Amino acid sequence: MTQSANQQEAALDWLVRTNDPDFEAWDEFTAWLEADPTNADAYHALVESEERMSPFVEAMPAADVVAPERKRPRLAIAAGVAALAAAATAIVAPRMMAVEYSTGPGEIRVVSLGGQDRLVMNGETRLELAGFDRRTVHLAKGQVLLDLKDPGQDKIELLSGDLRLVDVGTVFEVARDGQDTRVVVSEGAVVADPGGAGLKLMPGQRLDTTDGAAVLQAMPADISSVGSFERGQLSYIDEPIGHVVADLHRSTGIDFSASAAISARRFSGTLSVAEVKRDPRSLAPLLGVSVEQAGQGWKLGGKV
Amino acid sequence: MQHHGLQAIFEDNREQLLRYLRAHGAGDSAEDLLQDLWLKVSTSVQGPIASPRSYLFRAATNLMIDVRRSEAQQQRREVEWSGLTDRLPHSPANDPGAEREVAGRQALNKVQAELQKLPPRALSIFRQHRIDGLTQREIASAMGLSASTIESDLRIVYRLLDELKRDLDEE
Repeated sequence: MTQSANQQEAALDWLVRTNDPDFEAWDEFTAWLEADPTNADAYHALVESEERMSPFVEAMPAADVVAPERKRPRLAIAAGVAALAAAATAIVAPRMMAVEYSTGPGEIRVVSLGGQDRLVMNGETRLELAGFDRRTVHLAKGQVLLDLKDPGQDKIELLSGDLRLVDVGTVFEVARDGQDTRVVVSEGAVVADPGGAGLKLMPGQRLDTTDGAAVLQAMPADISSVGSFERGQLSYIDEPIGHVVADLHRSTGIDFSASAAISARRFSGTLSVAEVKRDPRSLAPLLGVSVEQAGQGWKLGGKV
Repeated sequence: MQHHGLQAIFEDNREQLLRYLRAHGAGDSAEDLLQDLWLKVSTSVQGPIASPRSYLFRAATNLMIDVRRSEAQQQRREVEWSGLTDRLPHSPANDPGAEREVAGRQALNKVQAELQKLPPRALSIFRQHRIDGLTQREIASAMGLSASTIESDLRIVYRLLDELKRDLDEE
């Protein structure tokens, strides 16, 4: 009866997905079930647990279920202390003459922000510069490095979904994939959600969050990874492979994909963009996955 | 007319449905179960169906859950599930007897205490999804949350329900 932890996690993923009335990927689910006969056992064990136990959830008094607020003020968890968020302040950002910038897959573009301040865009990135001096960056998708060292310039504000970041003289990197945002600081400091949580990110710290998240929590990060895309290298410490796949797509322009189970696995190490471009299969031994051509792109797979 | 449309889709997906049933462990009964599936579907469908292919696979999933449940019930001795569930308020419970009453009460208290520890948002999402039948996308847009947040909250609840059920099995 010992089912491996990975199988249990994969089965949980499938239960979450298949229980959604909108679920359509039945062939993908079939393939997972067929991959190992015990996968069906793991899945059905979870189905049974839910079936048996959900009457208890239904029976819970309604008062125990707090109706979620539409937009809760965020909590910052810094140095192990949770600080209550201050009341959100209204943000009035004048959007004068907004300018849009975008890059294609594998393209890197440097945008001057005035003085010595510069913004480096990785591939597959789209953003808009707005505000009086175009010091407000709306990151729609992709990855940017902000190198802000000019003391004569105003602060830069960056918006990624519902996350607002303000620099305190700094070098930092922001990546946006779907509704997830990653921030890594290598110099100076960045304040995340200044109107609410006010979480200060110091060099060597990172923030991983998603739109609508109620809590912002800083975590240790690898400083050398900041802006490494500009040098054609991607460095990670304990990074979910899902993020690595998104970065690889941006930097190489090659369409990589991975299943939910593979995406959740973690990777530590350095990847050379040029090497991956030359031979996508070279990823296999580094990430510990199989790399197979799938149509125009490459699929990362292997034992879950 | 509607049945003809659904039957065509059923025939088109016959092989995939068979594969799917076998992947769930249907074994040699797969062909028979496929017949059962069509009987159930063709007799229960009243109006038009939004995604007929998904509807068939969903029905196949439920069929396999039923099959596996009845197989499991034949194999193992009956655990005290029904007795425990009957202690919930508003259940038409039979008098379970004094000793079982105490043990069942303790187990129920433990389950309820563990469920109270769930993050309120995760619990709310679970109820909307699994009890009220809202889709994950509907909940995400109503609550202003991302799809991945909904998924991770649901995982938390499913995981706990599985742990609680395993704990109870061991007792």
